[in-house]
Amino acid sequence: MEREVGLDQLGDLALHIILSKLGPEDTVRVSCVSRRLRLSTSEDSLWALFCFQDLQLSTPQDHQGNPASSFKAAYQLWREAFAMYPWPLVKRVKRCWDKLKNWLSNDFPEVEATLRSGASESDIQQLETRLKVKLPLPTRLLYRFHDGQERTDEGHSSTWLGSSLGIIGGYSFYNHLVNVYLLPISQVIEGTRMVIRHLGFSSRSKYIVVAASAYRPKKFFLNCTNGQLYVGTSNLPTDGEMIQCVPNALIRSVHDLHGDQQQDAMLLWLEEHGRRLENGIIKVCEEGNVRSISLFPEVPPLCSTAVTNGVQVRASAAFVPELANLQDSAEKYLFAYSIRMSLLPGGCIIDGMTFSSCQLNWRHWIIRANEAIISDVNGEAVIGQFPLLHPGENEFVYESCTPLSSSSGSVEGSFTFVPGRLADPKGRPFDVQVARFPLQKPDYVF
Amino acid sequence: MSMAAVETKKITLRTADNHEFEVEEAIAMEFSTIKTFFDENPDASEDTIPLPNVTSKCLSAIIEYCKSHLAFRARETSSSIDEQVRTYDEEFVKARDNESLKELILAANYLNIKALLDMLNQAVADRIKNKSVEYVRRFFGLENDYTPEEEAAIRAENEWAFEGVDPDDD
Repeated sequence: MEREVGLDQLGDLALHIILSKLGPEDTVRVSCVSRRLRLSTSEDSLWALFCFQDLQLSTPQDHQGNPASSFKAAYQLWREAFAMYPWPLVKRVKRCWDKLKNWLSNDFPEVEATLRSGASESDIQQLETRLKVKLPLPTRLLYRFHDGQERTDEGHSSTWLGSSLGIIGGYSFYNHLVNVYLLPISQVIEGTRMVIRHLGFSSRSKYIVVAASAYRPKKFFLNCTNGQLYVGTSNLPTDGEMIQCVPNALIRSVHDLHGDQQQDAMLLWLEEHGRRLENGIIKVCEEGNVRSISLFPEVPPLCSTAVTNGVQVRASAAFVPELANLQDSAEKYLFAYSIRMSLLPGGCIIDGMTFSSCQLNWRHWIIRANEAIISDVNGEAVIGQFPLLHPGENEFVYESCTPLSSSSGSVEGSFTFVPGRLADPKGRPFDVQVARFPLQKPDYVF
Repeated sequence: MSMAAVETKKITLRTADNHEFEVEEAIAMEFSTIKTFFDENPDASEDTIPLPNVTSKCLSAIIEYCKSHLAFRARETSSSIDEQVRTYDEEFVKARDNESLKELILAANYLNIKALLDMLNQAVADRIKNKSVEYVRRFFGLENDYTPEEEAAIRAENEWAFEGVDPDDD
């Protein structure tokens, strides 16, 4: 007999509010209290709230996208599918993928289409058995959501298109073309075995290949013991030399099933990549007719912009780890840089006169390692070309590279242009500034 | 009756246990139930409003709450005001036992005072968060009307919800 203020009188509204503040686990426990309460805890609007809060779901569906009969059922299916993982980590990994996919669906849906559906626990178990490793928890979860990317160019001839859809993206300069894909488990197994065979890694090594570029040998390795990610340098084939990709201090508890502090390099790396894409630091670029994610930064402070007499020059650099040579003190690191130049719609304006075109003649670069000038060069043209600019055209873009002995430096310089054309100059030559842009080995290496 | 500019209008409320409370109009308008009543019956402001579902103990606590929050809102917003509001709310619920909390919720629900209701519901949620099924049962004063098999079935179906529960310490 209820002598005190009982639940019936508390009111359904108050109860609904209390349950929504309690969260899913406590709500289930409350459903065990009595039949009367079970009714209140079964309200689907409550579970719709939990599905939205935990999983950002607005329709009831399981983790593979199949529709569920109710939000309560959907939530249940999700918890059961991931029962072997700490739930906070599951939510975090889902948010990581969601952020990447949201950006892709707006800016590069062709890449979103390459994401394979999640691996099963037994797929992961197979990888662990065959390669004799134990995957760090966050990486396991990443694969549970998406088993890498599908590459469509196997054996096709007109294939360049198929290899520009790497979700990590890349760059190209001279004949060095890189575009990095996340590998599916089948490729992780095969790739790792090849590396063990050809590069002489011990068969007991805890490194597995998780991402790679289609053409140039750029490979990312996950160390399953410490959870760190590495990328092979130019000395990978001879010495197994690699550079770590994520700040070590951030990696923790990678095999710990308890608590909610687990983070490994794969997760941190993908979260950082998602952030850079979301914030527009890197974007999709088009070269020829091919679109790909370019690792050359697009915004300050990594990208500089200067306008002189109507000529705009944007410039930024990308660290190229696969061509680094940590054993060479003079040319330890290599940076690629991308220069984009254009003539603003107002045309080329010099001393109050307007010209409808201008053409590049010379380049002048000053390269610094830390603050010391290590190179001060003048030369004709850029990559052998003399770009002719007209107002309002697309940017003329070219890439080049420079070695650096230190992890930090900068490039600045100028181009000499003539108004009109080189063959028919309409005035005297003028210098166009390239504002200083940094060369900086980043904390997160892509 | 007197139209002196400085005099604030007062509303009379009568509780379930027949106590009468005179409150400033501003405070009475915090009770949405009463505000709605006056919006629809503007001539009724001189009458005493009966509140058959609210005890005097509850009403006096609620009046205190509304007075304090009105005073807070009258001041400029700042993080230190927010901090003071938080402290006030914490103190408001801290000393009350589960019974009073529930009574206050009923009263706030009846009077339709949204902010207070939300705060009280949060306090109840905080008290039963991560507690065992037994604890919650006692809190609400309910009997277990499940058979052991039924209860076991719910637990088995939802294993994920039963990890890491606080031990009962009473």
